[in-house]
Amino acid sequence: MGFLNAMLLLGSAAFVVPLGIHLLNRARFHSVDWAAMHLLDEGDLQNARQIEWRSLLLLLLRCLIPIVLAVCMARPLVQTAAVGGTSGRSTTVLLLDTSYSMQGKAGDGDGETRGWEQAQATASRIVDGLAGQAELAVVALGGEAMRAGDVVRRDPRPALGAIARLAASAVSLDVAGGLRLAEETLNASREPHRQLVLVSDFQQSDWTESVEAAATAIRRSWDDAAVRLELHLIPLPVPPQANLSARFDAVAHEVTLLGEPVDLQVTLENHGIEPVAAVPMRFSVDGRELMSRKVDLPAAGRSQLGLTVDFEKPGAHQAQVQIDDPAGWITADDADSLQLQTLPTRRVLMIEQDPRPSLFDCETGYLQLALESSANDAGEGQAAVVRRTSVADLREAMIAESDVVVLADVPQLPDDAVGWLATRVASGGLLCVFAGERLGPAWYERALGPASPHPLLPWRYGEIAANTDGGEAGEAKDAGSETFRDGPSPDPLLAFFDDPQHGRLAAVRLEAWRTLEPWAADRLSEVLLSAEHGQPMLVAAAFGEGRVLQWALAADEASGSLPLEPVFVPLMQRLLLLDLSMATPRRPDDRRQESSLAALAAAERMSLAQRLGATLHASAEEFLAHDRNRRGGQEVWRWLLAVVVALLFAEMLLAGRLTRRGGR
Amino acid sequence: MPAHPPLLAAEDRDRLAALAWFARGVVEGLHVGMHRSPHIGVSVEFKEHRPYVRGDEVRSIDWKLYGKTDRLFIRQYEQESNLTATLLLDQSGSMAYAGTGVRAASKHLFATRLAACLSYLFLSQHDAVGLALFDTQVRTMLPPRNRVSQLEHLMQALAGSACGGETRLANVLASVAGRVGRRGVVFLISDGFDEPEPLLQSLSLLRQLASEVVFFQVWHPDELDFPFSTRTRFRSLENRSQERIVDPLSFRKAYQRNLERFQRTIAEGCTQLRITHVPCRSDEPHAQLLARFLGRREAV
Repeated sequence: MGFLNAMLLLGSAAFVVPLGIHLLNRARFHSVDWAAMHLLDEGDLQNARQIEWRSLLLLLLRCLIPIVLAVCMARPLVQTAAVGGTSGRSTTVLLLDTSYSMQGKAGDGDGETRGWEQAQATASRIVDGLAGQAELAVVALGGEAMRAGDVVRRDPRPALGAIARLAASAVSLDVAGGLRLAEETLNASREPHRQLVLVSDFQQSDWTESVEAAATAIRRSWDDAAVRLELHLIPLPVPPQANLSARFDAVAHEVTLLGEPVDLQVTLENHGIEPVAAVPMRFSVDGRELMSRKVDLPAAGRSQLGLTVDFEKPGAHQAQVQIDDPAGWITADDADSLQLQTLPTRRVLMIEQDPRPSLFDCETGYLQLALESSANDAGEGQAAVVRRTSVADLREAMIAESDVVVLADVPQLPDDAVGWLATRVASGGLLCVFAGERLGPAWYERALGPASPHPLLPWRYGEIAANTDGGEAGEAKDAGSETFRDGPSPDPLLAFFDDPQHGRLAAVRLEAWRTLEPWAADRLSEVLLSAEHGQPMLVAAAFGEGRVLQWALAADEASGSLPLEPVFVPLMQRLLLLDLSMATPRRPDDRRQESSLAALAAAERMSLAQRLGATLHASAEEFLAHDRNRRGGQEVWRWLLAVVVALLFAEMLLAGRLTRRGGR
Repeated sequence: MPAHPPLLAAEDRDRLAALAWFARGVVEGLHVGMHRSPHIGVSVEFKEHRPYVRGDEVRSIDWKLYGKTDRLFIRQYEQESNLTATLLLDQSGSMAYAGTGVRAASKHLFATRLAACLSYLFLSQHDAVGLALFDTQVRTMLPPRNRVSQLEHLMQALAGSACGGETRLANVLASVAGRVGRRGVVFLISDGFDEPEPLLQSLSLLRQLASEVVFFQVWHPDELDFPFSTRTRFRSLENRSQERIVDPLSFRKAYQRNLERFQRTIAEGCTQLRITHVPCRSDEPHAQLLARFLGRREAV
């Protein structure tokens, strides 16, 4: 137990005043020679003795009042088991919520207060309060947690500067990363007491079950540490204001073909508790407004709008959606944009053994139709330009000028052509190999296998296999599946077909194919399509900067119904024409959850603090008081003042009672 | 009649001159006085005529009436008798209480002055006045006399009385009762600080012997008001070894309860014994007290 103003304890000596008065009065009784002694009855003296005891009690109260008052004014500090035991210096890591929601503002004009400013003010008060008492480090939790500045030891100004330079980010909270970073910082400290202070608005969306589970796991790992780490939570006030947000829903990929229709979907959401009506919304592409309307949004509800666009010019295109929400807590989520990349016209070279004039008589007829189908009526916006050639007419320039080279059931190529192909694919081209009856597996292994100078082929071609139901059982080596295996695809190109609206691969009937077997040598490859019973139908592998697609199927209807199915056109266009490497990196989508202002309720915060083994503080001042109590003990002067008041009240009652008894 | 300034002031005598004590019944006495005597004899006040019978004194025959009526009548006169008043004055230690301030005289001084006034009153009426001073026993005893010199003797005895000793009121009254040989008025002037039961028994005996008993119970104002406020040590005036330390503020209520109980017991006992009980305060002018008392007595 200690005292902040120990000198004032001397004031407790004032208890001698009532004691002295009492003793003086006792010693100074005067004597009277009295006649009516029989009226001083002994029985009533018993009552008088009780009153004497009450007088002593009154004296005790009067002595206690100055003593307790002096102790109260000396501001005693009492160390309890909960906060005591780690007096002295400490290391403190300030974890600041710099997530998207902290950009929010409340009020207009001069009275405007941003959430981030509140966080900065809170953090600055903590730094000022801990100055000289603790090592300090600041960690920003927005996006990927990172430390702002070095660990500050005595001079708090660098920490204050780091806090002032921080700004709210456009991403969500990284609690787990921040805790790990703070743990590393604290483990490097030599101070006996180490603590983390998390200053956040505690949005519900930030504290999902997975986030909390990760944070709890990290927190529990501290229990076994040699030096205990304390976690303190300081919630920032979140004004209960409405907030609207507009955002694009995810598209399959942000690379499109010329003329390819793209379905864009916009979600408008009201995160407030009051409905809003006639909110202006604008939708534009490349600065051209395509849609403008007013929408009604129910409380805590959403509305989705869809629009199909296509692009006739290659290059980057930007779609934008804007909603008017001047009164919202966050204005940055009132607009959203989507970057789309439209590929230029692709040059496709199709190589056959002996191409025929009629499209329907040759191997690549269906394929050519599928790739050229994106052109409009005027012939503009064509996604692909197809050129066909025979093996005999093949020239180096043809291959060099093509983006995509298709080998359709080619028995073999001249050795020079293999080198041209390898050069083109290595520089970023696409080679697509279709199987067929004329294809010579031996040549492919020798010329394109792993032992060849140009190991373009991912897998080895084997014998022809067929579906037993196909009527060619006599030629079949193995009975295979009759369709593609259904299910989600790991490949981003084929994931497009996970949505049945884009075509059903499972509807394709497979009748004949060449078996595919992996080379003995380890080569990275990926099976994109396989039959129901597991036989690979399409294998992909990278080669240099390019890519090789190896089909077990023929390009025409000889292998089944694939060319005749609706899924054939989009499948071939995506596989052969789309180049996802040209897609811009997709931004993190997690800021959307920040638009929801709903914060954890007080009880939820308390529950969270219990699960995390943390101490919840209402404000920076409360945390600082807690820290002071930890160092010096808990101030109990308020309780003592209450005791003084109680003593005064008791003294007044007792004195009044004694006086009344004497007066009657 | 010589004055005695300390006990009997001139203004007291002036006031007493207007007062008179009339006996409620007939009283026996050797001397002629203002009270009716049970003996019909030589007197100046005619009572009645009655027929002469043999044996009557011849000088009692009303010869004038015989001349008018030719019959012998005896003329009868009512004889006036004197009254014997015995003053019993308590001079025990408790009567010495004079209070802590100057608000009142001591009970003893008040009692002696009251006794002096009574003596003066009765002697001025040619009544015989006796005096007994007592504490644990009778210390001074003056037999009743109606001589002129009796007042001087009484004043000297009263002036010479001094308080001391404990109160044995019941014993003393029992012994004094034997000396009140003639039926007369007995005045007991005391604080009555004794056990109420034996005190009342002694008063009963006294009442049987005397025609009238008047008990002047003398209180000092302090004993009635208990005006103490600070812590006080009360030492007995009669037994110096007896003392009690009391916080008066807290004890006042109990004291007053005891006082009321004691006063009620004495008053009810006196009423039952047909003793006139006159509580009086020592700060009250005694002549005024007597005037008030006699006026009320005549009214009854």
